[in-house]
Amino acid sequence: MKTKRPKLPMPRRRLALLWLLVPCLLLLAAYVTDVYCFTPDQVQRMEEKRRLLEPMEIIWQADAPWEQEVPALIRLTANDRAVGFSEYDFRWWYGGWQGYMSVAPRENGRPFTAGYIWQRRQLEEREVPEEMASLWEGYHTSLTEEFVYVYGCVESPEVAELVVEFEPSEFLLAPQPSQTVRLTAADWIIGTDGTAYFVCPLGPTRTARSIVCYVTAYGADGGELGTRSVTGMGHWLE
Amino acid sequence: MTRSTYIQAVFSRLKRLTRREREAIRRELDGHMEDHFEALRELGYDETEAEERTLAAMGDPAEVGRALDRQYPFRWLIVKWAAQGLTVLLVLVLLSGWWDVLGNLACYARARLWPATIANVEWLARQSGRELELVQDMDREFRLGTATCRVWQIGLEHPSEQAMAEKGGMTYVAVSCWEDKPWAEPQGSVEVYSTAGVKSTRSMGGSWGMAWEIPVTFGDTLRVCWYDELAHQYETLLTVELPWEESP
Repeated sequence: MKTKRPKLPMPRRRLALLWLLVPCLLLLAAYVTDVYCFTPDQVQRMEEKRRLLEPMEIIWQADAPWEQEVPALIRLTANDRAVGFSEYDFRWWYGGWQGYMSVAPRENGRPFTAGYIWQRRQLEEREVPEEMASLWEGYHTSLTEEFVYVYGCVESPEVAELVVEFEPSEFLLAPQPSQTVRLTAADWIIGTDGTAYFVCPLGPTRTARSIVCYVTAYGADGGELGTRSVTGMGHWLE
Repeated sequence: MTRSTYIQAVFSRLKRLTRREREAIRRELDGHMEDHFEALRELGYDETEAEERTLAAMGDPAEVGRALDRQYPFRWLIVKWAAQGLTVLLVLVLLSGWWDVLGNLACYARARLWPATIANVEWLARQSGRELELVQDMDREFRLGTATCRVWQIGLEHPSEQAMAEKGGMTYVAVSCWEDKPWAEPQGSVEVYSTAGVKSTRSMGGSWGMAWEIPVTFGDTLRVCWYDELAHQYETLLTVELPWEESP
């Protein structure tokens, strides 16, 4: 009579392939349930959904200059209701891609739509001048570098030039100058529907505790079409 | 040579076996030899001779060991260990997210099937120290982005015109919300106003469901609104008729 023997274990190859399937299924489930964001597009879609703004078109994107440690990007998106400017970064241990979108509602009756976003990078101790080293102890969380972006779109065909005026003030370290940037048709980014969008990077400026920014539109004849203060509670200067 | 030394000789040719594989091979060889041994015994061989013939029939242990070793390539063991490590890492990284997903699935079921467990008009009225004369279930749905919201319960403190004229009163409304994807939390929030534009004075609940208390006058209806952050204004999503008692 034959003895009853237990089955031999599964061949190593089959067992390994089955085990490889487990992380794949976990990743698939994480993607489907949005528990983990594998691409910036996925977090972009979630952000649009959260703001009830989907779908938006990606107009422009670039690497985020303030983030050196992890992959990060900035992105301009738009639809007929709003223009959005997002910052996304990737931290594999923290849900993958994540970020935030700043939104400027489209202002069809105005010459342009504009919004602004700023990001801070904490300065390192070696970046603070020696004579200011005493500040490091008490104020190091305020010792930052600010990256400001003014973004939006041209709403009126009369607009030939946009002038962005940027005035940082109340510096903890050495004062830094104001900036004026002129944007013309050569700087526009044209969307698929022909709308002209713009992105204007300002700064970086260091340790400014107050930032004021105005955007003024001018026509081809040099006439002023409108000025908007985009910082704080954005408003048109009438 | 005994069975045990034969097996040891086979194992000396096998490299990098897991404990489970080693045990399985031992049992396999042992069982194989036992079967052969029993068959020889049934044919009339004595124990010593049957043992010797069994071991001879098994062949050279070194050759058996080499053949078995080819059946257990080390690279696939490495792949399996790597996959197991990756699985553990993924489970740890995704754990908090999974926890949220499980919570969302439970809330989805509550919002769709048992909305009273999230927020209901009787709880809210009790918080205000009021008694409701009329509580009525209803089923009015509207969409908010990718979420579905349902006005499922209405409560009136005084449904009659006379009582309202004498004492005034509150109306209560309960709404439950769920996303198209059961594991996702509903986004966006709604507010409820009376037709006179009076805002709620008290509310309870969260993103899966809310109940509001709104001061009304007899004959009012309610407007369920969503705040459009781009237009900076409320948009009416649904108008709810209240079950006022008809005057005699």
